[in-house]
Amino acid sequence: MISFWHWISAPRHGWQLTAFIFGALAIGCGVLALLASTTPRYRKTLVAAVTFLAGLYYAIEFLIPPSLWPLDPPRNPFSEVQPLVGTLTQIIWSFALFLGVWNLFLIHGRAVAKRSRGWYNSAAFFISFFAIMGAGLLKDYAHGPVAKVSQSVFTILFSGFLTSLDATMFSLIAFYIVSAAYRAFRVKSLEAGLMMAAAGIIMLALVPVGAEITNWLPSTGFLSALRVERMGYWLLTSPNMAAQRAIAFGIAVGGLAMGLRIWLSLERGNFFDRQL
Amino acid sequence: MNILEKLQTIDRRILYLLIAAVIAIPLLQRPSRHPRIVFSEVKNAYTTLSKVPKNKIVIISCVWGPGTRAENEPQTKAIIKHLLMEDTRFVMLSWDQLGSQLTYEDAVEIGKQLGKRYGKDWVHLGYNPGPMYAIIRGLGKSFTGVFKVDRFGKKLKDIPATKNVRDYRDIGAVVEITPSGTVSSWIAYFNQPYNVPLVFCPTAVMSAEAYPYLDSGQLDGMLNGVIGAAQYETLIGMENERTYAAAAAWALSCAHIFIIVLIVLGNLGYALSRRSAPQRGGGRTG
Amino acid sequence: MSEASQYASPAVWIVESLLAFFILWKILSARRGRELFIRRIPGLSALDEAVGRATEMGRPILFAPGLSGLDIVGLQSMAILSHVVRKAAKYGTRVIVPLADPVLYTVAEEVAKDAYNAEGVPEQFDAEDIRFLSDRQFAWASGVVGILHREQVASALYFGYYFAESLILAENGQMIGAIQVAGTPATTQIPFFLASCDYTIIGDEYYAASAYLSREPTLLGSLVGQDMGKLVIIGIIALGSIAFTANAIWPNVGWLCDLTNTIAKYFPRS
Repeated sequence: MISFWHWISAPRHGWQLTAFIFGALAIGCGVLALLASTTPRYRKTLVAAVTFLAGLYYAIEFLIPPSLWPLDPPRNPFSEVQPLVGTLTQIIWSFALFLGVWNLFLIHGRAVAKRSRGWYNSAAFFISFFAIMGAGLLKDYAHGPVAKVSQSVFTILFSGFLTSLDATMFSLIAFYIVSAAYRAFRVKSLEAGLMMAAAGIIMLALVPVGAEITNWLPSTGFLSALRVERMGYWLLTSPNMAAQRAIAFGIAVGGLAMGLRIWLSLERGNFFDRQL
Repeated sequence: MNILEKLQTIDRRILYLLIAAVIAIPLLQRPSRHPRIVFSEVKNAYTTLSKVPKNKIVIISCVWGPGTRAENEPQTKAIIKHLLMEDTRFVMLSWDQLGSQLTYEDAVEIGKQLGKRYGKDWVHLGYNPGPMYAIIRGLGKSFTGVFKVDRFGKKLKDIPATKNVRDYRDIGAVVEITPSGTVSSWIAYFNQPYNVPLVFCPTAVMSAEAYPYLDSGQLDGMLNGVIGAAQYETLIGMENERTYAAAAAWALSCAHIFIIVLIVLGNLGYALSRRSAPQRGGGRTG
Repeated sequence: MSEASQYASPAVWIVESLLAFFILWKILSARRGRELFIRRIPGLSALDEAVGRATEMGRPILFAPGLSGLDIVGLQSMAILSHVVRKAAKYGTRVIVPLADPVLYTVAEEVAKDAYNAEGVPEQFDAEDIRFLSDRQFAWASGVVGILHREQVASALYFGYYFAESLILAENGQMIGAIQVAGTPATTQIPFFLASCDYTIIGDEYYAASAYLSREPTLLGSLVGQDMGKLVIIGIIALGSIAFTANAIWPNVGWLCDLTNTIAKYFPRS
């Protein structure tokens, strides 16, 4: 079994690579056709079986240590194909990249074709998509002045537009934090007051000016505990850590429960109960 | 409108102008003075990376992109500089399409400054689409089984820096530089199973979540945001250089003071207006 | 470090088995008809209020699943979306769903279509309202902000995985006066939602959402099983804390030393 996986995952070149790619596509289409031709009654069972087997691989690989396998030398055979599984998952996920681009083309293409409201924004998508794709390809594969010009265009589009716009959107948060903090942080109760005091201490503890404010206090002894960086550190490593841990445990158990339900096909809801 | 109401209802456009000025001035002035205090988690990160054996590599995993460049890039540059100064080989991989180019350019810039060569001292594996958990789980077993070529398509076994890297035994540490909660994948699938040290470099807002892992020993150090980067620069001997990290640390200081002043003003107005007016219904809390 | 640490230790076996046992036991007992209690979660009760407000004002609802992909967070978000769309479909209110993941986009489209069908109003489904904007975090966020302002949504619902864009969305929702309900397992974004949203659900209340809204026995049973699992974890923590504290106070007590050694053996520190 393992040698079969090694054979199938061995690097290929030339006509063998082409054959493997077309073979994989053919097998994939065949499986989809088989699924489509299955009666609806059995489709859910098939999906549940595949889901269970896929999850079972990871469960067996992690839960059963080598010493419990009746093999000589003791080893977990599922662990040996771990890199292959990682590569296969990468390939499947890479399809999602194309799916994203395909969806964008469909949506914006429809908007431009129908001249819907704001269709010029969709046209701008196509212009910018092909501009940066063209510049990126030409700068790497063209020669001479074409490559030089493409490099400049790519730099303007990438560093000038794309990265700057991304950073600008993130920078908006600074402004919104100011307005949100100013509007929402009112000391309406004792708990709110405690929270405000803790927030103020941590805000000062994390920045250089906070250390300057209480720098006059001794660095050892009882009074050193009143230094803002010490108080901030205590808040982060004691109450904050306890609360984060508690929330993390709750989220982890919730995640485990949902993972179990999906793995065993016990999940309910419109999406999971629908006819396939 | 009396002064009490005005204190609570300052036009947000004025607030935005003021915060822009408060942040911009230190960034433009670029003070060279680095933070005086270095947090213990930053010191631990420094010690962890200093102790990496020379026959092992460090993986620098970059999840950041242009959006969080202001916080994560100084961390990346400080770590790269430290590793190159220590002659520790490292491999960079990026989980963000745009971040891949940015991280590569950062490593090229610092490599040139220190006379280090791509391929011999460091390698960049380019953009990886994921999923993280499967790749991390696989690379512990076989590094070249998961990563076959670098960003230029050259086989890793033909590159001097990576030709002898087999699996987790040849990886001395992992540095995860991220604006999101991806460190749990490294902890679960790499650090815990293989006991490889892990240094976490999050944006400041994510750092609060990391303290349980620091306490349990699953993280061996942390650089909290750009402040952590500025402190790390102090440790690697850059305390008198005019760096972006130092300027950002002072910009943050001014911004935090400004926000505290605003909150105090708002609460002052609120407290005084409560005394002078009948109580209205409070807001909904969920 | 030995090879064995790459695999589940006996402690992992014990804890995971106990958690899985309680969850599956409660699911099976709920399916057999046992009544289970779940406390009120104000943020989820507010979903109806949000739909009602949008209906009164004649403006649409925005449901944003954040940056979730097709994972448990995303699927939970789709369960909540289904509930919201069904409620909105009863009153003819539009629900706009901007997505950042192409795979989740296809799921959201199916979920919305099925929800409209289930309410007997398939003609209300508009594929243009389910929009894949971009998989880039801030490109998606700027698209959502544009939708908030152009459509002047009356209610904005944020359920999914959020990072830095949470405050951008919530503040812009505030600016247009929308009622906002948020829920995310990302604890670092909770403070931003709390500051700007009317209701926020925290931590594992997010995973309780589908059970709370549908009252489906399987989901309710799973929720109760989770709570029992948390009791197991609390028990282990309490046992360890008390044992080690007592051992520190009385280091010469034999059985205490044995107990702490056993706990340390099965739950080693990294």
